[in-house]
Amino acid sequence: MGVISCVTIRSHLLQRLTTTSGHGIEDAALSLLALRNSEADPRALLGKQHRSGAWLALPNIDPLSAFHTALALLAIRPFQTTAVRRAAERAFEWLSELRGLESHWLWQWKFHLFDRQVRFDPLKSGWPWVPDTVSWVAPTALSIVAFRAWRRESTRTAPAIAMLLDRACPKGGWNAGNSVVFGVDLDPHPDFTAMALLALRNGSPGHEVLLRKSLDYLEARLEGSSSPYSLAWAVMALSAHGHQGVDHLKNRLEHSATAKVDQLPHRVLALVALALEDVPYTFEEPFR
Amino acid sequence: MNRRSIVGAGALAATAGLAIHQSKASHVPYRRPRRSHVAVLRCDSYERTPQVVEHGLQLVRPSVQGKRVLLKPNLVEYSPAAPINTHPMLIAAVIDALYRLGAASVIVAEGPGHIRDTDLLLHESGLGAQLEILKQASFVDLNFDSVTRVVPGTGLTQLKELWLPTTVQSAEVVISMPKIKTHHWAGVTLSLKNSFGILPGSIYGWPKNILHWQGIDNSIVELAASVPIHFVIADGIEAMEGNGPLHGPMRRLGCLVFADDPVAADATCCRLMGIDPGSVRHLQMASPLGNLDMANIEQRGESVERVMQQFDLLPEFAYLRG
Repeated sequence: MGVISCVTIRSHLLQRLTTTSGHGIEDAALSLLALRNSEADPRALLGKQHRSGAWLALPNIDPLSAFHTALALLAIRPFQTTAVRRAAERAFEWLSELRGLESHWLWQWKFHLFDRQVRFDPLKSGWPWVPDTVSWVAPTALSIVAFRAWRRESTRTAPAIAMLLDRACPKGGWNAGNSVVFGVDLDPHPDFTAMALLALRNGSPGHEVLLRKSLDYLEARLEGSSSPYSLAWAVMALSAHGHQGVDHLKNRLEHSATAKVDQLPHRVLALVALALEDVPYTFEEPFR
Repeated sequence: MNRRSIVGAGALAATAGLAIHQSKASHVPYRRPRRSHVAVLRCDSYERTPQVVEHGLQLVRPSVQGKRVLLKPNLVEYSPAAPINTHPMLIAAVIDALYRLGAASVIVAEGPGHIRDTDLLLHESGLGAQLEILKQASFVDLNFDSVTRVVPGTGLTQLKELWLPTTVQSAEVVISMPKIKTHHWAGVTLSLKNSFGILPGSIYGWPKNILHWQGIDNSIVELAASVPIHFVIADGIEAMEGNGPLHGPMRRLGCLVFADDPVAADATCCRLMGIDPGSVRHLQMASPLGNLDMANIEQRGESVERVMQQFDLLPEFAYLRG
């Protein structure tokens, strides 16, 4: 049996969506994006937007989620109808207001004076997963990508990029957002690394070494991996940076997805389809 | 000290005061059994777990006949150099033994707190391969499970509701399978702290930071009150000391702990680590849920004194020393 193609993955996904809607907004958003050229309709996702402008991980289940809001913004972006633009406006307003708790002077004071076991600079702030918590890598990275993909200027993106750079692991790459704890260097994880690299795709003057180390980490870390989820994120990140390892990982992804296609949840199937496009999707294709 | 600092100090003091007030005003439900049963059995290698598990289950006699059983191991992240996770061979031995005791079904379920790619973690930790060999138990990623609303009842956190995995709530028997480790925030991570993995990351994020902001000890007890643990099988063959739960060195404790009460299990594990369980804040707070006091724990198998070792502790936790 040959390896599976992007088109086959998409047809699997389409077939799957006729019988089940998936787990929540992550499944819905990534599926919409993967099927954006196959008569996909953003209205179902728009209908799940919370009155605040945010999206939640699962409809009607609190808390509101920056990660899912950013992902939904990226998913509806290719459609550009009036309803989509209106929804995006409200979502960006909500994202612009949401800050990590560390951005408040009181908590900055606490982190500077008492709570020093985790090494990070609380002056560099991004987005939390959910309100009333501190900033983490994944929601920050996807929010940066969403602002940029929609060509939105925001005073929030520069400190958020600084936050990502501050939270990078000493050996390169990113984990959920803690790089050094109790004096120990923590290890990066592939998916968070890929998300951060997508957010930093325009380069960061003075941080070229970090970006190169992170890209190399991603390639090496997944050398023997058969996890379609991490491989798909990695392919998209390496492609965004024009890294030479992308074809090799894409090949691995094709093989691993072929072996597991019936077991993959919607979100992973959709990510695989996006990564296996002729030019791997990087969330920022030009507006149609 | 300037005005801003004074105001900040005042606000922090107020926050601390509120937290203390909350702790005192809490009402952890009283579920303490008259007596709890704990068995400590020596086990010097994971290859021996099938025999030792069978013996341990005979000693604590979990009632699993015809029931849907859920095993909640501690699966955090993988490092070839550190004993972070409940060992897959132990999990496999427990699955096998439970089916022989007549369990209707056994599910292994976890929602790793740092990792979204559970597939990768299952592969690298070896748990995926063990489950494939056994073909008797499926794995549920609790980070992406469907959820059911739970109203926290202790008043220890400000959380008005918790959305918890339906798989856990529909299980008839929940067996927590922690790795015996020190923990750089909570002092120790045993069966009660192991319940952090139940919170779905897809809703609350990675890590499950919302719990830390509610106070780690408060959250541990809130979860313990919300999701009862019926039995505990703790992996102390290769334990972790010092800067746990990820970066401490391995301590070969060489035992498994079986219990029908999570508080009694954790208290016993603490004693095995040379830690006074009464000094561990979350254990002390959870005492209405089970027996902390040795007088109410029926000890089976080895005596604690014969197996106990003095675990290295971070200086911040030196006061836990028993």
